Amino acid sequence: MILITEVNDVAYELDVKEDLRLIDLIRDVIGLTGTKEGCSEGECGACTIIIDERAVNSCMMMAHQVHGKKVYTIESLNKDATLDQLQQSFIEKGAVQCGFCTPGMLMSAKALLLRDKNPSEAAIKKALEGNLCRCTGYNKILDAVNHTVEVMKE
Amino acid sequence: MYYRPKTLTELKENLSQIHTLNCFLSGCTDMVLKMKKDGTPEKMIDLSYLDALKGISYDDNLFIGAGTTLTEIIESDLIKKHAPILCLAADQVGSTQIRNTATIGGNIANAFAGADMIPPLYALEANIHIYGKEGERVMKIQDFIIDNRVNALQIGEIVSGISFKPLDYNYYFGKIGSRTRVTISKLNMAALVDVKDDVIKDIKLSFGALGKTAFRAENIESQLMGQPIHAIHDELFMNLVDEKIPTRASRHYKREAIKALVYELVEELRG
Repeated sequence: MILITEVNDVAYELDVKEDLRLIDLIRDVIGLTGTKEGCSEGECGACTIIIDERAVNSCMMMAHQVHGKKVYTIESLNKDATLDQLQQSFIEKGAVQCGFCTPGMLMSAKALLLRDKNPSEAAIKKALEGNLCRCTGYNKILDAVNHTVEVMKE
Repeated sequence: MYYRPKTLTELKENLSQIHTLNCFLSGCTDMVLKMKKDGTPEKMIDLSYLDALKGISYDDNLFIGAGTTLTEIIESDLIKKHAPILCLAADQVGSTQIRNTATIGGNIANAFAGADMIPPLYALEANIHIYGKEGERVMKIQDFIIDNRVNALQIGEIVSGISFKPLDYNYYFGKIGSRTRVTISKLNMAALVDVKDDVIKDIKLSFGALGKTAFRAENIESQLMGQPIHAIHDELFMNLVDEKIPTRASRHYKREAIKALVYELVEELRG
């Protein structure tokens, strides 16, 4: 079944099975492996991507749900080999340990900042509530997002 | 076989090709897991491209299209104004990512005993609009939900929307799960209460995750009608748990846990 979609501003026309999950389209068919599969059931957020400026779990969606839509994955944050401010803040603030949750965290944070340039602490936590981290204890991730908000204000 | 209808005419045609239940895709947050467990249905209809299932409107009754996502409900000015209890409930479902994808139609049709959108709709005495190959019909939500994960849809029918007459009452929705956020409800409660001078003039109280389907606690409602707020006692609710799930191991936990929801309700009514 033909699927026409745009991923990170690149157009694709693909013939894929009806029951292909979106995460498998992104990782296996298109080859963008920055998006991670942690739990396969929408609990951990490692698979988070952005559609219509909203964070969504790609492991819980069918590929054919993005027919005619524009999808953004973690790779879209540093398209021209320069890091997004969010990525820089994550590095500066020590918000990356094993790095497995990081793509999903960045996507959720990015989706938040696309809609709210000055989010409260509560809003940041809510935006990240669907993203689990087993390493950092979350504080440095929150610091990184706050840092990004401060830097973007200048 | 995957169908992607764009219009109701196309949908009607596709529905006449369907010979099983549970083959519809909406937000897919429940369906993806179902398909992993039970396999891919031979025929599937993707409802997410139907504009006819989207949209929220108000004209004496509030109408919400089945394809409306939980985030759309939370952010809807109409729902914030006329049924804020739904915003409150939707905001406590899953995570941000799930709310951005999951639809109210899917939450209702899935008919999970612990669903969060269903008890508020019981309190609102909502109508469920059904679209099928034979035509359209409407059912009261309490008749639509039959058992845990069993609804009244016939083969070739979908939930197209919900409607209800808004009530300008005090409202409350609370849930208890293993976590404070991003958790399945072990117990939830929805209440719409008309309070005047600290007296309960009218009350609609419903529960989920307490038995196989959500329900209205009609006994408690009639006992509290015309009573002052301080008549809301834990015991009424503990008895409810004992009555509803007498043999379940979770009874002992839930009869204590329900006190937290009662406490929050009273706090809300006191203002």
